[in-house]
Amino acid sequence: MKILWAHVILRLRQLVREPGYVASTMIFPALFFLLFALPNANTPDKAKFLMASFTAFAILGVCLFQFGVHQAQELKSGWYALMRTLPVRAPVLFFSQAFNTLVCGIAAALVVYAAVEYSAGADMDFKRWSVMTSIALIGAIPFALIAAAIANWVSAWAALPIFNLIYILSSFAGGLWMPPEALPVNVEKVSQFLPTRHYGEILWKLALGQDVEMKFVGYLAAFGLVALAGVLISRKLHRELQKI
Amino acid sequence: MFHDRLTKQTETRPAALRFSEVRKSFGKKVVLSGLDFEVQPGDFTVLLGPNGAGKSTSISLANGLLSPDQGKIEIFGFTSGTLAARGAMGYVPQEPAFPAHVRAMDLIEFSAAHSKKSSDLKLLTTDLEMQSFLKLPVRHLSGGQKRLVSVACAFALGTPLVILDEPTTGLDIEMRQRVWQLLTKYREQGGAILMTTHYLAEAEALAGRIVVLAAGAVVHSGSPAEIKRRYGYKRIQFTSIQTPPTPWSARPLEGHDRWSLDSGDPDKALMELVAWGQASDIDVAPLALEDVFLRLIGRPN
Repeated sequence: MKILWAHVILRLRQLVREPGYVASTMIFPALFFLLFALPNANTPDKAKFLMASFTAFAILGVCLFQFGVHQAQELKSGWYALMRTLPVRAPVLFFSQAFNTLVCGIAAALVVYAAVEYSAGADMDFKRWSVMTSIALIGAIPFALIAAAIANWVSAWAALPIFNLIYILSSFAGGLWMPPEALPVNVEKVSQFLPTRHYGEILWKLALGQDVEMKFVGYLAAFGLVALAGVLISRKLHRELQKI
Repeated sequence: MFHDRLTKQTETRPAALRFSEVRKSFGKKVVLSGLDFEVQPGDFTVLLGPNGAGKSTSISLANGLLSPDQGKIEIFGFTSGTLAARGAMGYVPQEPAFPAHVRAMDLIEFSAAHSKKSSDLKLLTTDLEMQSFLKLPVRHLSGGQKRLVSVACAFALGTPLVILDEPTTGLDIEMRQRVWQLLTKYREQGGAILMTTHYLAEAEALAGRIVVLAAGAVVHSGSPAEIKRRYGYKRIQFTSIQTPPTPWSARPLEGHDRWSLDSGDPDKALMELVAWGQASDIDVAPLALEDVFLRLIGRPN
């Protein structure tokens, strides 16, 4: 526990002392809502819907940046190699990363909650928000896995633009910025096959107090399994190539 | 700082580090072809070799970042790379790589947290004279200061073996002295050290034993004095306005018709030189380790 705690604390220190990270992942989703989505949040239900969308957008961002950008930079910097020479088990590295993602995800979701409640009056009670945010954090695991799989293959310099592109495109096409029915026709057709859309579908229902359709949970779970296989294969290939 | 524990740990233990017939290739390139050597507790061993000799690969194998294709590497009897082996060694990489926004002291404490018997951090940072920058984030540190942080992180663990890959490259003379003193103190207290360096004077001053690598194998091993003595060459310098006979392979030195030749049989060479009758101001001196090293790796000039 002492070692896990040391890793958690060090990672938190890394994050909170990096203003660029705090601004881009914690504040950006709420700011984006205030600048572009606020006019559409003109009823409590629409505000709740958008709160779910932007909570998903915020948590997705934290996952992609923590497990994607951050990990790619760590892998290439030599810091990760140095950590591997310490007497620490691999799960400690993973769980410290996951714990920090959890903390940052909750913080980013809280900022969205405050922004939507304050500006649009969604009237979502805290219990429902807690359930929705918890499910959002669990549902983000496949995205974290995919990010970790990609992180093995991108350079430290390319990581930020690549993950930004994935973040923005998948959020837009998944309907996290605007309701799916408002998307361009061709994008909407593609949207139905995107995991971000299935992720959004689950959270929208939760935000509105409706029953979640299990098919979306199934799609996301299947994506999670593919992502898990992806990360395992990616790690193995990466290690094999390093030996050559 | 390390004494009591190290004494206890070294009483019954096997070699601090042992390479047994280690082979390693990257694709078709053979980097290590049967590397065999060991570092005993209390030994200060320096790995020397030209670029590409396999020094860094050996270090990466010892710290578990790479696995051997064949052979075995053990740290106090534990296979390298295992949790137990990693728990018995500290490692200073060639290039310090730390998160830029974290403070120096945070990193040292982070490293120490991995050990149940970490070193006295106050004493360690005092020994390395780091107080002035301990509270600064890494991004504000100079290259030399980052290296000291790296050294402190490795020694903070309080392990009985420390592996250092060119730890003093880029350090100014004062910083280098501090690291040297720390290494000497650690060794005196029973700690084992494996280090690579490009500074042969450093190897000569610090090492109890030097292992010379060439083409992935040990070509010579011994104390600096033994290596110089065993190699037996001496450098003869003399003045002559005439070019010495070709078989002597004497090299001209800059200015004043001065010449230099290295000989494995200096008595015979001196007799020939005197018999030649054209040489004056003759000086004979043992080769410096640097010159011996260059000869060992086949680059005498």
